[in-house]
Amino acid sequence: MTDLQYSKDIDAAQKSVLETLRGRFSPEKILASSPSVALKSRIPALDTLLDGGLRPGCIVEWGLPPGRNGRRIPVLFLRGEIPPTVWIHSNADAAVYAPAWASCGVALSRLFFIQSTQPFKQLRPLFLEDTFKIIVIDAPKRCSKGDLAFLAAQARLNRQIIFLIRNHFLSVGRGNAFAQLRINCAQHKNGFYNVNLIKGGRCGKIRLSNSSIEY
Amino acid sequence: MPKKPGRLIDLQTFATQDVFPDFCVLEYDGPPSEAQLFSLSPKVMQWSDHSWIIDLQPCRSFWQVQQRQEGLELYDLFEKVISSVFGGLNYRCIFAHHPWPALIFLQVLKEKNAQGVYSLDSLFNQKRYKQVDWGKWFAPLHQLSEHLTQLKIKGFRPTDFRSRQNQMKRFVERMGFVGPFDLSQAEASAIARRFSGWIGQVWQWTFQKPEKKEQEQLGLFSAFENAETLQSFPWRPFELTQAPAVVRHLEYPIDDWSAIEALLQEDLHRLCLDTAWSTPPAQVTEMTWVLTLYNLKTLNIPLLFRHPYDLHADEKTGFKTALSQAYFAYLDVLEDLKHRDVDLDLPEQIPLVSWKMLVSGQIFVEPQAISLIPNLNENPEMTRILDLQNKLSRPIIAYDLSPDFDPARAFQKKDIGAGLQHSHALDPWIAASQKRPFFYYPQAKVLSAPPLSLPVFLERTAISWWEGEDAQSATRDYFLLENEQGQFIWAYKDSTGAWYQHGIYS
Repeated sequence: MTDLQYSKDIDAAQKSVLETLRGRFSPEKILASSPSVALKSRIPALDTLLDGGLRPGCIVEWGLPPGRNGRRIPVLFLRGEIPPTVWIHSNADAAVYAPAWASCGVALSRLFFIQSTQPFKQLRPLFLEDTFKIIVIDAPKRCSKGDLAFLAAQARLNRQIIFLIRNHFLSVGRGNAFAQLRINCAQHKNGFYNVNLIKGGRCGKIRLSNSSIEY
Repeated sequence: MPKKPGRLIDLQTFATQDVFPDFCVLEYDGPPSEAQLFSLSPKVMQWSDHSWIIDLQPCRSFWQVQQRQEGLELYDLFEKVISSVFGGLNYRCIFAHHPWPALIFLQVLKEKNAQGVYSLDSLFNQKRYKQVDWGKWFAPLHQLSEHLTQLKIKGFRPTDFRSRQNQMKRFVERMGFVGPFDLSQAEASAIARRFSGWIGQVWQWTFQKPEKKEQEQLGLFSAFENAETLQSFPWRPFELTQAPAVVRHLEYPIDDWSAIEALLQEDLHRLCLDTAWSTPPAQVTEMTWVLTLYNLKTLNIPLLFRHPYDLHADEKTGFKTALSQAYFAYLDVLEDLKHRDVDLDLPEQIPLVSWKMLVSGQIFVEPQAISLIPNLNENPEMTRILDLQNKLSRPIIAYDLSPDFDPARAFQKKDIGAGLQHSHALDPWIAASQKRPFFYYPQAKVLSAPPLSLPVFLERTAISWWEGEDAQSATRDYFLLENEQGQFIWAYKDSTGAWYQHGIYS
């Protein structure tokens, strides 16, 4: 029996099984299991700016001054079915307000939190393993060039996406050779979000309305 | 029908299930084996010939994860484990937030000849506890005196303690008080002034209320030391007769971690082969690494594991978990050595000449009682996260939502691996949180000045005034404000007109 004859002989029941399997493996589940696929925000303008999304193995540096609601933008990439993700925050006074994250479409079963002022010292095994495919380091107090080099190497090795959030706008003058993408974000008083990509992708600025990013 | 987690009233025992008990008092007729005693926690104290006190804090998150996995209520899980370990009904086990109330309640159970598992969180048992008479309250004081004497507590004199007890007995008899709760209005300080400091301390233990501790507040070390919860209760740890240990004497002093790590890996392998391991399989909660420095000073370094940890299974990974904890501990030692005696011209690092690694905390869990290790086929991701948790010095936190009008109580921290589930019943509560920030201040900050710019009204809500909160300030109007630094903050005005900052839109 040739391959052609065999394929013709697949009965209807087997075909329906294949269709069911295709339906089960939705894009989100494929991303969760196959880290080579880009992580998208599902906001067309933003994904286009980033040349299709965020690829595993990269560091994305975000300039998000406090009080400007800028973290709404990186959270867009953490919605829905994502691989296990950890958000490392340094502020000991402020605590995570989980309902707000859930209201943005974040699945709380996929996103974990750690409070640490010295993540590179206190959480080193976390970076050495690929348990978390997406790691967000929110405003670490110290981040040396050695730490960045270590992060970059681990991200490539473990096929991870690392978000490095700074509490200030990033400047073109003071670069970061280890980050593939550098983005400044802030919400304007009128409600829209300014997103300025200063390195990587299609460098440029876009404006996102509040309604366009609502879940 | 699966039981729902969260703040529910258990109709069977009328218990509120959301506060994990800190201690358990166990009375068992037959001489228990070490495996039986250490089946709930590695921290045990022998109170008397047939009774033991078990400190549950080191394994709190472990039991909460097991509870979720088994789909049981907490006390049902404990009952299952204890009946499997001890068999039959020849035991009494009381769970409470401090050993003393449990020891008093033990007298109640003895009088009734009651056996089984009891919780002092249960409203029914609370009622029975409040009806204890003075005889049951004074009964454990004799044993307390013995323990305080053994510990050589400064200022404690057994004869004086006995005479103060007699003085108090005469007083309550004269005044006609039936039991301690007839005198519950008396402050511990007043009792201490009248009858002595230790009687006052015991009085305070009698009326101790549980505190809901957040996982982060507990921290890793405080969960193991528990001094705050004990409140001067004389803890005399009951040690295993034989604990696995290995000793290494170095041929030459070393201080380089890569060299130490290689040797430590060999030692951990030897530790696994030590015949001192007991059956059933032990899960390690604590190891002690005793270092001897070049100047012959010894340092005891605790290596603590948030989740009971199978050392033998870790051998396949080259003991990554244990070595990670040892590495962090070694870094802390180096840091401390750097800061010592700064005025003396000492070298920054002192090499090691020998060390001893011993297993200082174990629990023995009967495999038949619970499924110890999460089924790898079901959730391998969660297994890896639990394993990673043991290697980190900071806790990994997960959150779950609760349906509550009070914004601060609309969610709770959960143990990782506890099985978070999204229910569509929570959708309206999630929608209500769309305008709230990602980070908030658990203690709202008072805003001294009214907002400069026009505030944007977000919502009106109320906190739980019926739970004793100030009813006057129960209603809150939440606004989005811009502060002087141009930052968007989440603030509220209560019904008295006072402004508070509750979060920041970062």
